[in-house]
Amino acid sequence: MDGRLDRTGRERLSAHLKVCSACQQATETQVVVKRVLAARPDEALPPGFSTRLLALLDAESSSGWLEAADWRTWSIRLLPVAAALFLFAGIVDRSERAEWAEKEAATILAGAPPGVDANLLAASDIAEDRLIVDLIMGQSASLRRESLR
Amino acid sequence: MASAAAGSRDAFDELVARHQMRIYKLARMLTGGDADAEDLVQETFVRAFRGIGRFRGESSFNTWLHRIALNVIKSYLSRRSRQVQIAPSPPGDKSDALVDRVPSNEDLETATVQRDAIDRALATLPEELRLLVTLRDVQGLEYHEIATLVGLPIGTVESRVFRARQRLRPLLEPLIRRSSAGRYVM
Repeated sequence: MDGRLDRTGRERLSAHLKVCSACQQATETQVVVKRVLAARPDEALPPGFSTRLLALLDAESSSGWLEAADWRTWSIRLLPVAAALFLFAGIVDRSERAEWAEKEAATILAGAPPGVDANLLAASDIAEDRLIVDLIMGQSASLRRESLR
Repeated sequence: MASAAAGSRDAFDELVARHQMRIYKLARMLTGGDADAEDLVQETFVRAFRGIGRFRGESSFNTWLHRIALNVIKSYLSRRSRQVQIAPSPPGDKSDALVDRVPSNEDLETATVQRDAIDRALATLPEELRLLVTLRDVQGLEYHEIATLVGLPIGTVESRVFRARQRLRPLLEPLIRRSSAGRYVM
């Protein structure tokens, strides 16, 4: 019922339930209670709830945390990476890969978030929360790197 | 930089739209329908907004958000030092109390009455059983996610959810009967 048994387990349980009324009742209880709870009607959000919440987030955004806090932190943390990328670009041929490495390193050192692309939001296949979080954190650069290979 | 920030903010708003009802429902249920539930949800999303850089993807975003919400709600309940608004029924009197409050099939037609009946039943459970069965059956979290959230072994979570459902059965009988009769669409 909760998807915890493999096929063999389900078959064994099914065979047992055919001959054990106590377990039948216990299983039926689990099934019906779960169904009732899962069907609990949602309460309506209070009027204006979303507007107030988004206004709070606007206030957070305007405080500049996204620019000041995280991206500086990212820049500081990524300085060794930037240095490695410049070294990589310097010792390999001036291939597309090397040019990319040098560009990414310069971007990191400039403190700009690498690769955030709001246009990706429009892509119809972006449905997973994790992809959205990746967009927020500018990790879509990894998607661009993949496209260069 | 400004356009990047705007794009990231759009992305976070998308996450809010996806999850706000789920977190609001959780806050309402764990605080007994408290009027402060909206504030708790707002605090949850503000904390998530500030801390999004710390989300590493070891769990799903939903689980991560639930962790924040549970911390916010627990802090609130601890600060206020209050019980869930709907007091537990006296021992041995649970079924009669619930039936008395749901006197007719007509009353069960409304979503509000159905929801209140479920919430009253849940309120009779010990806090930990209520939390676990709410996370599993109402919020739809997987057992391993719940185990991570509450710091219990999966087997312990499973057995407590099992016990919670057993205790809820008699309290939810009117709703179950209506479901069997086909008049309560579930």
